[in-house]
Amino acid sequence: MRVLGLEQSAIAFALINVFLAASYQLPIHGGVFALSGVAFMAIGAYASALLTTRFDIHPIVALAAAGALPAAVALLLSLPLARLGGLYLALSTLAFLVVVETVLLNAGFTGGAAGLYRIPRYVEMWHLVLAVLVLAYVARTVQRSRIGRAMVALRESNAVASTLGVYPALYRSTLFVVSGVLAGLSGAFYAHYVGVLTPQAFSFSLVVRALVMALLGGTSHWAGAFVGAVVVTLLPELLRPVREWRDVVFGGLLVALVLFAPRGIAGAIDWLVQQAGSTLTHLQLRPYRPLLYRLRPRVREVALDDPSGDGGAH
Amino acid sequence: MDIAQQAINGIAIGSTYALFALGLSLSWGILAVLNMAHGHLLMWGALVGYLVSQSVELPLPALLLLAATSAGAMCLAMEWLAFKRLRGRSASREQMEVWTLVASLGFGLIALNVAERVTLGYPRQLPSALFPIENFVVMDVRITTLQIAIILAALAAPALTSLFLARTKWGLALRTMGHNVEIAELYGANTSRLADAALFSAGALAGATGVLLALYLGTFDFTMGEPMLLKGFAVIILGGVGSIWGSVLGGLGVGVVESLSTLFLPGGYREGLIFGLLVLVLMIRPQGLLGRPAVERL
Repeated sequence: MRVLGLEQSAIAFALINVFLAASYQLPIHGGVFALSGVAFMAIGAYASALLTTRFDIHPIVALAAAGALPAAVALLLSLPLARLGGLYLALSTLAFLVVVETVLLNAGFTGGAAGLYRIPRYVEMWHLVLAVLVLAYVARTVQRSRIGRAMVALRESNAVASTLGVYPALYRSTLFVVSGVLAGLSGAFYAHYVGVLTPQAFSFSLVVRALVMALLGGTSHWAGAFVGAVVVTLLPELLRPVREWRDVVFGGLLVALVLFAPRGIAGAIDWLVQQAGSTLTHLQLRPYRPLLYRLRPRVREVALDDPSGDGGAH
Repeated sequence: MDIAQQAINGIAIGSTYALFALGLSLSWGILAVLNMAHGHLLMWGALVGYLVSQSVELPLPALLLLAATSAGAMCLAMEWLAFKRLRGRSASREQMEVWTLVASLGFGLIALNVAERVTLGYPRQLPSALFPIENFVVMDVRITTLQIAIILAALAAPALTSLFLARTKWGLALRTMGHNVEIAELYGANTSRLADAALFSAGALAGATGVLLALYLGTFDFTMGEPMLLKGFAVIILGGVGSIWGSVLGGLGVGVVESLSTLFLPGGYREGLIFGLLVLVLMIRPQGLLGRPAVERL
């Protein structure tokens, strides 16, 4: 079946990738440059697939396990990794991916290089749509809460954030764990949508693609992961005529993004809305106030508590 | 004698890791450029060597020089197109490091795709006449002339680099840039040219190593860069970022552990072992074996 000229499976992969992209975007948004999302996705995928095929566990329980197991691993990992900053964290999380890949390739229970097959394909399109909608709602709510503002403060400066009452180590490990949950869920969706799992599916090139999704969409706004995942997954479909040069297009896009639009698509939209808003006020057009207020980007507010600025009347 | 033989093989392959990681370590240590395309520069060197040797018959030194120059030029192009601009405008060093890493990922993808189209995805072979290999057997341990050449190169390159950094005006300026670019500028160093030179040499080292590695392994294909890059990371983190002899020690260490592990472990676990070791080192000594702990000021 085709929707809007696209294969249905392409759309499903886009929705699955939203979770993966979010697992990269969220920590980066908070200033934690971790690259382990794909490793957690693999853990979630294999966990859910093994639980349902070998132990006849109910799919919902398996899904919960696919979120919980990577979270537990992430929590354990965050203990030693909490001390590492910047690129050391990136590299050690990459090392973790290699370790996970090695286990998947060699351990008996994962089926080795041949992988797992005949995994029940429970996942249907409406499950994915529902899951993505729920994720969008949660992401939007969180970004506009105290937690969202704390994350921005953390990204800008750990020192400033801690003077404002944000405990950096706690936030950093929480971000890491949540990233594990999101990636694990995306893994479970993937496993039960495709029905086959191989270690090759979770390679370094998927890390690169996930990073492109997160950065293309934009890391400063919750919608970034959604936009990025959809664009990056569907772009190759549209690029069919130049399929052989796909990575040249991707690579060039990545470089151009970093140079010219470091805040990504979501950032660009944010900027446009801001420009439009300031033009309107400049022209003294007095638009309907509440609408403009709602459109105003709220990402860069600095005050953590009491964003309304009414002088601490709470 | 198996152990001694594996140790020799490990030292030889580890020498290529050391040569490769030296450039990676310099560009990160001095310019904060963590070049994710470095592995593809190595592959590019091997590819240029292959393409040239297909059309003209050149001696190995000339081929090495060509491969090094072209990989160095590619690295320089990345610097001019992206890294330099990012360095100029980023607010904090950490932010700049992340953006630079992402840009280099993009360049890596481009190089990988082009190489795939050029080689059509098949493994390729450098003509074995480039380096006539002779064997020496000492007490049942075999060592080839190629292995000796690689090991010597892996000792000479770091020795020259550290002499350059320690004894010359430009070396001093480069080391100053590693601490603080603005201070280097205050003292009159042309930091932009120095950065060009550092990145060109880093790329050139990778390119030359690519030819040596392709000769040593017999064949190469367009995917050779990625595992090499991951190993390069392991090497510089084990040795300490920016430490020259650290990358030699790290390279030899990774090579030897890898070869010896084949005696005790099923082959597939090799990679996991190295990276498990890496995580361990990061936990105990995040600055690496020979690195100095970084002090962060606010």
